[in-house]
This record gives sequence, C-alpha cells and structure tokens, in this order.
Amino acid sequence: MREKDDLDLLIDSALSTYADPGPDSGLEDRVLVTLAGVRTAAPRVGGGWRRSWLPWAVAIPLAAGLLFLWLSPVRDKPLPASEPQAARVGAPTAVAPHAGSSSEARCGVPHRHAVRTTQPTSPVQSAQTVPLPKLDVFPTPQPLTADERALVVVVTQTPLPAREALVEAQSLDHQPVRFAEIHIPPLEPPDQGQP
Amino acid sequence: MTTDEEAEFTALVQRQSRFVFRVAYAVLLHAHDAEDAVQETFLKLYRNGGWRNAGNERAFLARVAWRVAVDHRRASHSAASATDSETQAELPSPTPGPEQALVAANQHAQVHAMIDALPEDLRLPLVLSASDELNSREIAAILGIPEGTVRTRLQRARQLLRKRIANLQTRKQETHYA
Repeated sequence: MREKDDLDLLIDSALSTYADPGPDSGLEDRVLVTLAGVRTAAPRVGGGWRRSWLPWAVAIPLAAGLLFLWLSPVRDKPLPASEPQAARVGAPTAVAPHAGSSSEARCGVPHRHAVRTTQPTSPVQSAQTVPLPKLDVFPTPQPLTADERALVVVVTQTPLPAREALVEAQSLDHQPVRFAEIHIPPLEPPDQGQP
Repeated sequence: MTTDEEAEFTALVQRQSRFVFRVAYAVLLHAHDAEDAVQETFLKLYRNGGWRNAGNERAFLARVAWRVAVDHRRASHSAASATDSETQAELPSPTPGPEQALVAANQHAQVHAMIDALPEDLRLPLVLSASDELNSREIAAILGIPEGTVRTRLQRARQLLRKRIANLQTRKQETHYA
C-alpha cells in the first residue's frame, strides 16, 4: 500500500512537468511575435475586403430599384391582357393621342383604341407612352364606332341647352339625391256652425 | 479588435501558452510540432474572436488546441507509431523500449517516456487531468466522450503507468544485486 502511494506521487509529479516547455523557452514571446505580424497585416486585409464589397453594396440595391421600377408599370396596367402592348405603341392603327382625346375625354364616352383609353397611372408610365415611334406610313383612319357615331349625333343635332342639361345630369349622377322639404299644412277642422 | 481586447488577448497568450502547448504535445509528441500547433491555435482564436465568449477558458482552449493538433498530425503524418494501441505498447519490442532507453535518466524523464508510450486515448485524458481546473466532465466535453469513459481511461492509464514503473524498479533492483 505504501509503495502504491509513492507511485501515485511519482506519477503526479511527473505529470506536472510533462510537456512543459520550460520557464525560459520563450514560447509566449514567439506566439506574440507571430500575432504582431498578423495584427499589422489585418487592417490591410480587412480594408481590402471592405473595398471588394463596396461596389456590390452599391450595385445590388441599385439593381433592385431599377428592377422594381421596370416591373411596377407592367403590373399596374389597367388594360386587358389580351391586347399586347406592342400593338398599342407601334401599330399603325394607333391614332395620334391628341386627335382622339379631345372629345372623348370631355364626354366620357367608352373608348375603343388602346392609345386613347390608356390613362397614365404614374409618371414612369406616361414617360413610356409619350415618345411614340415615327411611322413610315401615315396611319389609316378607322371608321367611327357606334358609340362615336351616337356622340356625333348628340353633339351636332341636339340644341345647346339640352346638351348642357345632359352634361350637368351626368355630373350629378354620383351625387346623393336630395329632396325638397315637404310642407304639409295642418288640417283644419270642418266648420260646424256654418250654414 | 480594440486596444483593450488586444491587451486582453496578449494576457491570454501569456497566461495559457504553456497549457496549450501541453495539450498539443500530448497529441503530437513532438516539441516543434506542438509549438506550431500553439501558434496556429492562438492565430485561429485571434482571427475568429471566439475567445471572447469562452465560459471556461481552459476547457475552451484545450478543445481548440486538441482539434488543431489532431488536424496538424493528420496533415503532417508525423504521429508516433508507438502509440497506436495498448497491446502494442505492452508487447516486448525488439528495439529498446522507453524503460531501457532511459535507464540512466532521472525518474521524471522515465515517467514522461512512459506517458508518451501510452495509447493516445489514455494519454490525452491523463494529461488533461493533470492540468489545473479540468475535471472529468470538462475533459469529456473536450474529447467528445462520456464522462464515465474519461474516468475509466484515467484509471487504466494510471494502472498501466504504475505497472511499468514497478517493473522498471524491479529490473533496477535485479541489476543492482546482480
């Protein structure tokens, strides 16, 4: 039993000095010298990393914004999907916008042609529709539709007071209906003593 | 890293370099390789900043140093073949073993050679337990083994060392009387 205790003490004391580099080995100094070299190189590495990512930090949000602006007018188009956008812009049937917009915009008549009906919903959209392509051949005028013919008849054959009354009636369509006050006179009892 | 953190990390290096060296040496059994592992360990800690959140400083450092040393050994293929298995360490070798080679050296050097000759799975817990403030639970967390396994290996390592030291002392006495 005594021998075992001695062996235990010997093992413990040997373990306490096992893999000990020694008090004057300079291990800490060598590690710190290596770290000092890394510290001097670290700002340069970090700056390079930041510089390499700086263009991306600007370009990615910019690209996202441009993509959003490019997609947003398409998403907000009020036109039906069956009518292609190219037909509205470049087709010969597209009558000049200033020609059709005068009378129709005033009278609120249902529209037929895309160029005339499309009202710009945003500045970007209006900027896209303004620069119409220059056509080689002047567009052929189309015959008037039934609505347009009816409008012509109303404008040319109806007297001015009637037209004004019609416009005023249309403007009052969405206003609430008002009724004048009704005054009901009190009933008087029949004369009893009269002959 | 701020100036205060730089000073703190410098203090950490001065405080724990020897401990990290021990852990690395227990894996690599070579002083120069162990010092390389120490440098690599502190560089790794300096770069990733993980030392700031270390709860138990020694356990954290031992875990990082052990992994670095194991990776270093894999990379350099310089592991000592004498520690492959326990049976191999116990078999009589045709070349002089650590006992015969260090007969003239002092007792500590002989025991150190015996520790080197232990199988790695026994040597690592033994060396880590000899370091201050590392208990069986912390060693188990570092090595990724159950706590009961750590205790069993510590017991087996000590039994092996006692047996070899006793054999060496018996041999010395026989030589002396002969």
